[in-house]
Amino acid sequence: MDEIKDKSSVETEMDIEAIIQKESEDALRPFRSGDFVARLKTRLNTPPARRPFFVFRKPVFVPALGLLALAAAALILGRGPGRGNGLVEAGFRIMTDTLAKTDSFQAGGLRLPPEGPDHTMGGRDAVSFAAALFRVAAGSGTGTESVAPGERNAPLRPLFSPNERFKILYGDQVILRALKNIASHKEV
Amino acid sequence: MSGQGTDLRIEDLLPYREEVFLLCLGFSRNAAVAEDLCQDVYLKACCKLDSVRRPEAARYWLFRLARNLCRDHHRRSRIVSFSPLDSSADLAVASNDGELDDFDDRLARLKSSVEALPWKLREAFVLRTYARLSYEDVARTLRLKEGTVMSRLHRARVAVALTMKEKPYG
Repeated sequence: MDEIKDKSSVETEMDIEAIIQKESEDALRPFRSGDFVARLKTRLNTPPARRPFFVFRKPVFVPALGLLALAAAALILGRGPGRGNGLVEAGFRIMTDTLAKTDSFQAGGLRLPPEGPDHTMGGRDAVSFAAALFRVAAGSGTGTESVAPGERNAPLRPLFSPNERFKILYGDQVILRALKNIASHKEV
Repeated sequence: MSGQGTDLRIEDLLPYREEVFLLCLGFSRNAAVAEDLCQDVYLKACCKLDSVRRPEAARYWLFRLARNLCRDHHRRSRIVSFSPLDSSADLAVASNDGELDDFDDRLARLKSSVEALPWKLREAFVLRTYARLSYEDVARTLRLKEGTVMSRLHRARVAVALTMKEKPYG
């Protein structure tokens, strides 16, 4: 019995190593092919006085971002199920763990995965993506544009092909849950 | 940019960026967040190069900086919790065959197991398994004895393995 238990433990530990190995390799691939150094240099070359950390005060910033999330919800409702859950998640991320990253909001650095927006978006992607869709909601954009990575005031560039834009991976269930989450986060 | 007392430059630390990224990945469990954190680590390192007294130990100093930033991020994210929408259950709903992807399932269980570790065990586990540092490097980064690192690592592995076996996803 003990032998069986030991063997099982070893197998689990080997499994853990294998999972971590695969996860690391999957994550490293885009990191290696990305422009990490170039983006870092862009940030480093920005004079500290202009480096836009904490530009906005939170009391101002939070409601504005909340509006972004609501715009996301409106977009979803307007476009029907199967679209826009990435934006809702973006709204959440903006309101929660990216509050301090106002530099991202200004820089609009975009690093979407090649297959389009999905749940793997990080703070800066989410902000940029949300901003792009917010422009759509406001009627001033097409949603196929965003700002180049790490560049402020850079010209807009194509984000997705028209057929791909707002491509969403999941279905109605997720959207309903997203809206429910928005309601439960109204204290933000 | 270099430190005043040393010839250390930020470029000298760039070769360690993958280890820093993996370290951040282990703590944040999200590749995009890890990349953001990795950038922040280097930005902070650049501002604090002056405080490096021994350039030969700059690598450990960088890892410590990354560990501290990840800890701060972890604390901040606990204050305002975020409900992810990308659970495996959603994937099952949306997928054509309705079957959970086995790897995703195991990865999700591993992440929640690592997250449940006490911080002391977690940092040893992440530095060793994600950042792939040697025992000596982990010990120097955490300013611990190697024996202590080994002990913590063993306890972490046992705890993670136990949680993964016992706790079904969801």
